[in-house]
Amino acid sequence: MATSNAERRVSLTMLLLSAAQPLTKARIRSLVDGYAGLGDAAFNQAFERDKRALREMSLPIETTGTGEDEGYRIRPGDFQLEPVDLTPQEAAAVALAARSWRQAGMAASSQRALMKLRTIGAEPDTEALASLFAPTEVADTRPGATRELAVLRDAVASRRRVTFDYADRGTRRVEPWGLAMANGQWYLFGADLDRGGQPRRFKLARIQGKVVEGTSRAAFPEPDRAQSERISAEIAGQRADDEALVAIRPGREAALHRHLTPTEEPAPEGYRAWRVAYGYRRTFVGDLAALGTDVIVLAPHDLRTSLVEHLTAMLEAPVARSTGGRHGDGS
Amino acid sequence: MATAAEQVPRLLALSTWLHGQDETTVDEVAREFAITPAQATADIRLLTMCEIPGQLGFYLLDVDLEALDSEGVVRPGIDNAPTRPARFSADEAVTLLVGLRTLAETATDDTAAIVESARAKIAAVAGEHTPIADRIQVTVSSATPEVRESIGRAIQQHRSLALAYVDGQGRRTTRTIDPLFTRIIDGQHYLEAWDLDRADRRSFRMDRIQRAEVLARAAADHAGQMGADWTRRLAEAEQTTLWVRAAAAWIVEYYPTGSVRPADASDAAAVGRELRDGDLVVTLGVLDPAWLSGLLLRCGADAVVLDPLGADAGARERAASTLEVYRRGTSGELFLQGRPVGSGA
Repeated sequence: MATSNAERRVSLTMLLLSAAQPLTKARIRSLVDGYAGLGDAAFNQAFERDKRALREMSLPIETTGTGEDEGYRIRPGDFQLEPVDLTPQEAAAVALAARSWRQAGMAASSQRALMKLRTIGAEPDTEALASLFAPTEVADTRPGATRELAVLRDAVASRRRVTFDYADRGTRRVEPWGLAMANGQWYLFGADLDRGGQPRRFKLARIQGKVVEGTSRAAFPEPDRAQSERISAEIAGQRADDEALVAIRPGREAALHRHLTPTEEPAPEGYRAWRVAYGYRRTFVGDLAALGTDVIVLAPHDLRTSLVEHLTAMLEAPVARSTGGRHGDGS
Repeated sequence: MATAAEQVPRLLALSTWLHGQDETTVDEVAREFAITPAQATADIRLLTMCEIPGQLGFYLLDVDLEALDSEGVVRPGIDNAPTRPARFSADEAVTLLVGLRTLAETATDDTAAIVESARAKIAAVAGEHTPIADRIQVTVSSATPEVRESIGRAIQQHRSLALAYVDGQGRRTTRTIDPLFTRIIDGQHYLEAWDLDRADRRSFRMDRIQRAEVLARAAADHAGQMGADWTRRLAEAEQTTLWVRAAAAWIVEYYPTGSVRPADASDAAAVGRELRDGDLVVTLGVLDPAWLSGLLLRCGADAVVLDPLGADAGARERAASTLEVYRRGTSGELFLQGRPVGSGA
């Protein structure tokens, strides 16, 4: 009988939910269609897996008695979402929050939560906040990490270890402490077990292939809150340890997309001098290169050298030869 | 993806929601549950096959299957679904709470209070899942509170706005727009608007709006003349193919791409480089040649245009003239008579 895991678990839930008294395993086995035809070992295995899966969904399966008499049920009062008394405006805010996720794994979870609220009567006043935040169609245009984000979120929530291939730096085993997003990029941070348990962060877009979750929940202690907060703040880009002195053509100040401090330092003719803080040199050099002669590095000298080397390498690299237009999408 | 872990909670939530509906459509179910229409149809069919154990002949859901298959219409008949939905699972509670916190970050005074009270009510029923939400931080890139306030007011009062906006290439522009709404997508706050000068719909990144002035003129209704939005225009734009070293693979992470594949020996030969692990061939839509130049300059030697040949002319010219400035500079002409400017900075 080809009953899917999902179908069997839904049936099991319905049975446990409708039980006036706890049901024994034998009784459950005889009533749920999906267990029919399974041998003792296979049934036990399937039943244990199903119970675990339902509990991970936060369904409160109650166990009573021991041995042969061990019984199971779900009390409707424990199962049900408690009433949430949202005003139409608050419901609108919840609806907008639910729709602020674009990546499929996140969108589905938040949207499902919203539907539960609507089922119990929360009706968003779509006019109330529409002027400020309007609902949007879910359009996943940024590649990567869609499934992995949902898996990592669950691993963070249940404190399971994860294993994945990272960039070209091999397989990593990580105790996931948290997730942070800044500038449209998601990062995982946690203890890198392949680097002596040091705290590290990983860009989700650089995780290759699938993230594999460990089987045990609460596999490591609650992460240290202060340390997690410090790492998320770093990811949020408040880090800018280095400073440069740059000359900028008037009118082009905004082009660096960075905070500038005016200075009285002399600048070449047609320019004005500014101090600018930056975090990662590589990124900053790229930003400077893109701006051409609108921004000129005055100091430090080695930043200027990096920029000159970057542009020189670009011009010295060979350009492509025609290959008869075979470079489409390869499909 | 029909893994049981996602499907079971959805099937339960869906059955309970359908319980209160007289009629709906597959498309609406798909939209409301953020799944594909094919998955929505599969879910509904599965519910009609879920027998209630111990109650022969009773199923979780009964629908008109003909209407489902031929018109995509869902008419629930007798159903035995739970009448109230299950408590929030961890993923549901966490995404909702983090989403609300994100919204609060960008809300202005009036709405901030509404968002915060909604968050508190959700947190109260989320129970043990609430602290987990604190482990996920989203930093929204948005405008200053003053700019956000002006935009909110203009939208509410249906007025036009004058924006001081820095575009992607860092050009400072002044735009007159009729604002439509704002939205947050993956931590980035956007203003959707009708650009009166360009007579087209445009998305503006809120963090690049430097000033927003509410104008006296009333905003017009542009519902009938909505242009293609950015994502669609990009897909229709001229496609440029690049050979990209692993060091510049961030292009794929940051920009929507038409296609991405690993480079092979003939690509390496075309650009006259040895083939390395992680080299890619990437196709992307280019709306503005200045944007492509900026991208190529940023990547330096790590990206080479494969097609159309010559698309890099602007970037190379810019690189050469920049280098020229630094070359002159080192001889003292530009850099102030050789004095080490700002040493110690």
